[in-house]
Amino acid sequence: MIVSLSSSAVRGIDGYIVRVEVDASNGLPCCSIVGLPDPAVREATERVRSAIRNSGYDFPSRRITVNLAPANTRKEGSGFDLAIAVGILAASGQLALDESVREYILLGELSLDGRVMAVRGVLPCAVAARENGFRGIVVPAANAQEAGYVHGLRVIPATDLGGIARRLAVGGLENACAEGEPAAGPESSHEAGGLDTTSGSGRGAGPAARWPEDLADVAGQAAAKRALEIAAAGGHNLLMIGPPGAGKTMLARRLRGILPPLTWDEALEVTRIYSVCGMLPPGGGMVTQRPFRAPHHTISYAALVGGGMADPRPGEVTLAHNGVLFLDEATEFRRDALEALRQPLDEGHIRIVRSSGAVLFPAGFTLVMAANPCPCGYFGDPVRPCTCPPGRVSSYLNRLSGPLLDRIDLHVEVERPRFGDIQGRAGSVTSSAVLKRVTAAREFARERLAALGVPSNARMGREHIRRAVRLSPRCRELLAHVFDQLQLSMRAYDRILKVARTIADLDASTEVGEEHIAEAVQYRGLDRSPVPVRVPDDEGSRPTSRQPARPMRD
Amino acid sequence: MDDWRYWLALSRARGVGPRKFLRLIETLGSPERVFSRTCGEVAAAISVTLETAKGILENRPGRFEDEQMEAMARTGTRLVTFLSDEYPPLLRTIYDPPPFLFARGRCLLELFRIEGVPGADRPWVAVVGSRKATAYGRAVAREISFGLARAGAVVVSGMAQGIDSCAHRGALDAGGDTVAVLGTGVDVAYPASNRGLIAEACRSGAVLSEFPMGEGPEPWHFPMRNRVISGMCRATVVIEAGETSGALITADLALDQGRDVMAVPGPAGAPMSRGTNRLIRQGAALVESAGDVLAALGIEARAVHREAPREQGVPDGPAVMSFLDAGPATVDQICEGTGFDAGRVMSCLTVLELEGLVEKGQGAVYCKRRMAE
Repeated sequence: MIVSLSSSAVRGIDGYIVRVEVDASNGLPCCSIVGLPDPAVREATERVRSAIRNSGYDFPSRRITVNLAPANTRKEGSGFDLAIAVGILAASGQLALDESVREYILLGELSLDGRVMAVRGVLPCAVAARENGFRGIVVPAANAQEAGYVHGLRVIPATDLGGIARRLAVGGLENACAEGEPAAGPESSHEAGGLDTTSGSGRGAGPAARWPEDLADVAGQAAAKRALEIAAAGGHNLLMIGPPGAGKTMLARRLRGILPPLTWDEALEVTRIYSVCGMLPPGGGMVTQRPFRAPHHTISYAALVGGGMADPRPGEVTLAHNGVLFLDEATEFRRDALEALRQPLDEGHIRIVRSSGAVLFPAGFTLVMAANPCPCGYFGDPVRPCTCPPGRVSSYLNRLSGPLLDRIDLHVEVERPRFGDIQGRAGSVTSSAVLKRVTAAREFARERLAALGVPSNARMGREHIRRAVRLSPRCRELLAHVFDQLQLSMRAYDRILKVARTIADLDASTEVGEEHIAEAVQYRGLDRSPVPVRVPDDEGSRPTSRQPARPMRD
Repeated sequence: MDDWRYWLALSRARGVGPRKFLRLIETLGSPERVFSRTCGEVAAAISVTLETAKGILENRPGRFEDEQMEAMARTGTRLVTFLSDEYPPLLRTIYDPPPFLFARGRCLLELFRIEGVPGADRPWVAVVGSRKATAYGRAVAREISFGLARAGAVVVSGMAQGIDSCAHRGALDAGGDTVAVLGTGVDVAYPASNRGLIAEACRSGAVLSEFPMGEGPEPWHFPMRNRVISGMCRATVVIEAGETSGALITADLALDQGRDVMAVPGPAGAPMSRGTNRLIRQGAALVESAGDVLAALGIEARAVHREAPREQGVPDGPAVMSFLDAGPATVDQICEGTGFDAGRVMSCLTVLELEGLVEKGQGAVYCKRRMAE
């Protein structure tokens, strides 16, 4: 007898439906799984055998064949256990399944004693279930909350094989309601518009308590705080340069506190990613805070952008989706890893191609990088002397490639605070005040951005800038003056206009004025050449093969 | 002309340093003539063994010299030899003057005198300092060089990063003349970022080096180069120098050569001014402007006024400027001092920068740009 059930698996961060067919026939007793199972799936046989026996059923002494369709896709993970076990029970005649079971997805890992254990990626599977017209989904009880975020899908929590088998038996599904649906629907919280309620785990403690990091904790650093505000309002990427201990990390951590809260759709997207990575908190609550990811500079290429052999996994760029990716000591990161950031920075997603196919991961984040001004970190410090040879000072920041710097609109230099600063005063600006301004600026820009079809000022292309930023003759004059006098490279031009647009938004001004442009110019520190050279000319002075590599004395 | 090959060959011979080289040409005539002498004559002239003398004479011009001549022809480089009128007169007087200098740019004779005024020697002044200069040091270097060049002095420096580059820049900005003495061959742009500046210096002054064409930067070149810089000049002005800066070597050499040493003071405890402050403590003349330098040299400073930039436009400008009067400050300090928010201060600083009133240094420090007095 053949039994056919539905389960689901995840590829990339999208779920897809897997049909689980179980056939019990006469022959030598054995149980084989076909359909490109990976080891974890193949081992399901053993888990299922014990789970069935320990749930009071018999494991049939027959020849059992399990097929996972589509048969040509590699299957990973342990989520098929439940479907296989139920299928075997039905195929061996120990369980008469309800007709409507075919409208449900079965998901869950079995332990040897028959309990149903939590699995990764329940949310994308639930989304796939709804999109494919399924009526409901059976999930491990621990994942019920997560599955419940998908509206219009009935969620049946499973705690043990015996229990769920009885639920799925004839007539069991109809009166499921009587047994009480899980407290799945977060309707209440989501209709209230706020995402303050996390899972039932009591983490939701109100917005104030959730942001222990406040801008007010940072003494001084007015310029950097202003840059953070602009970054938050316009979605601009930010580079902070300063000596060790200047508070670069401290400042970066406070960026997400001044970003507007996640919308429902954004939160769902983030939760989906974290669900696939198995990083949701116990109980499977929704991710309600913008992610803040700060990978260490030794991170590998694959870990940063995503990858893996057969089945690519999301990397840090995807985990930072809708949030902040912070790269401390940016110059120390592997060059290839940094360069790989270019696609996500441009397009908001990253495409990873493997022999088995391509996967698209969302990766729309605000990039914050921090770097020391030189290898020892103290170049330009008013008190501590820098111990680096001058050549290395100038080459140090060159490790960040031009194309990458092109995608970073704001450069800001951070000073090491003096003792008096820390002692004397806490910052006067609180995160909530800044958040208010940021929200207002985003609101102000929304209509214009919608008309242009871009998500933020930072993503404006040259054509968008031309349409969104109208320059008065005086502004033009100012810009010409700026490029002439301050030795800015032309690549700064678009960045200045974009940042000026955001500053104007913060000012609630439809026109970009001189003062906005003037301020934006200050955030292009790295485009200035240290010693002004007027006539680029190389008459006869060709570099020799002996390149200066050694330190020299003045 | 072809004589140059013998100069090059003789300087490369084993056992011939600058001193022996000069003794040879004093007693035996030009290098070409030296090569036609016997071992005995050479050995007697510079008191070496016959063996060494033989080695010297065997080192006749060869492929290397031909290649050098080719490279010189390609870049329009001359050899200014010790016997030439072009050889800087002050440099002749030091203990170990280089026998010749490779030179690109204008004829040095034009730089010795003010044209049409017989006897009016133009002072050559070295302006040197750290490669890791602060905004303050850069500003002062440019301002002093600007003033010196306006007053008719020739600004000599080493074309390194930092103070040296700013010194050349300042002199060029004033439309004055500047001489760069390199620690590499004159056809090597080092640091590469100064390629344009070297080309400019060639046009309105000269670029000199005692090292062969194509020679890269070797660590021992720079102290040698420094003795030439200080030796050519009447005075050496050290603008910023850390505790171990090479600029201090130049100052020591200048003292050995009997030249004046002057230093620009820095704030107490500033790492980049430790060296200069120490020089002052040891008796170097304290200078704050081109006028001070000229006065110390006994030259009447011709009033050089850079037209004072007009303050205009920005309403917040005066407040920020008066705060910066007290010294360089970070954006933070300006915000606190003026009570403006960061955005307003940043915007204002750009305008002040454009007006040439304020300069930005390392690490978000802004300072008032000082004007030539």
